[in-house]
Amino acid sequence: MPGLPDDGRVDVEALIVDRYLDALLAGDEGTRDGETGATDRAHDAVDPVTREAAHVLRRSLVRVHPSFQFEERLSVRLAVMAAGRGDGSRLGAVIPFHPLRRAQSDAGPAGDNPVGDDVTAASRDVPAGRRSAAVRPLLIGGAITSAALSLAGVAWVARRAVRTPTLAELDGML
Amino acid sequence: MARPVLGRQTRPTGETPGGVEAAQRGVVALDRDRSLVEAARLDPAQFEALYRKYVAQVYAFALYELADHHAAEDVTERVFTRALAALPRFRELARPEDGPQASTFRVWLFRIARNVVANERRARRRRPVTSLDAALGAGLTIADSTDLETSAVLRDEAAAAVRVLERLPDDRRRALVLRFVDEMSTAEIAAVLDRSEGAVRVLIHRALNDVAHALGRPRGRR
Repeated sequence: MPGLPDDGRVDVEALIVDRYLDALLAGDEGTRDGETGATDRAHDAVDPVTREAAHVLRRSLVRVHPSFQFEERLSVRLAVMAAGRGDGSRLGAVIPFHPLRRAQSDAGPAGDNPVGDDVTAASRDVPAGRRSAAVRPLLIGGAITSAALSLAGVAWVARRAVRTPTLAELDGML
Repeated sequence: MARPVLGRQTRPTGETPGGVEAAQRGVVALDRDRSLVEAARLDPAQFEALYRKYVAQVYAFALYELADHHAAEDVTERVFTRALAALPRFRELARPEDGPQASTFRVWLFRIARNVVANERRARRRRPVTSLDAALGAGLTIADSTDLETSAVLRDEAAAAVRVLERLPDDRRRALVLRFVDEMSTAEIAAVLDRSEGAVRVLIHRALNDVAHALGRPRGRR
């Protein structure tokens, strides 16, 4: 940015990177090929090295979720607290407990996501057409890895199990 | 989804020549959690909806800060019990310029989280520190069974990125985590960290340059 003092240049670069990150995190960046508009302009204006670092972080900084056991235990504790803080009419009442209850979501049928719709809260506001691009690895309680990739793995194994081998593959076996 | 609220900037329909569409331009979208917060204020049992919505985000923030699952769980528990206790004192401060995705409840919750994490970090100074790399270890072994080679490359790349993240100054690391893991807007991060939006943008820009440099991709080398 010739002509700008250093501080001003940094501010402008940071603003451009910020716009680029908005697009990247909303899933626009993954679908930009063949499209035009603000996303392309932000993409072209950002230093390729910075773009690459952003992509690495996007891939690498996995979302995490606590164990369901912990989540339910804390839910019960909060329900007890809430019952004690109400108007008194709830004292002595049965504490509502909803094991693995799913939060309301517009992300589709509850059965689509085996780990619960509530864990996709971060991507819930992504437009429907872009959700596939926004799917990210998820670590649950330090034990399981990506819900999306695990599902893909299961689907792949299932396909392999039911698929009839091609002639070329049969030739290879002989 | 932001809940449109007919507020200060709403014009009566009759004054707008474009009918409904024009009237909607005057609708101010406030805190997207407003209906949930209102419900929880009326009936504290309804706080569960807010809890379910944000428990993973708060836990993730705590885990990236503390690199310890148990400590992250402790922090998460303290954050939500404090939030429930303090909910009557919560004041919605969303502004129209914060955009339709603004949630001041989330900002408020993360400000509590930031304080609880800071207390936990002070208390843990004398204890052995585990690495974030180790804490996220399972998450970094993401396997795509169709392409083991690519999977290994991505795993190594993720481990390197997490190690770089750990070495960043606290404020830069925190800003990156809020941006990339919790997917907050710059305005939200600024409110959580008590900084201006411009300062947060510069913070993230510099943090990205640090990451690029540490990963062996300094600016100018293309």
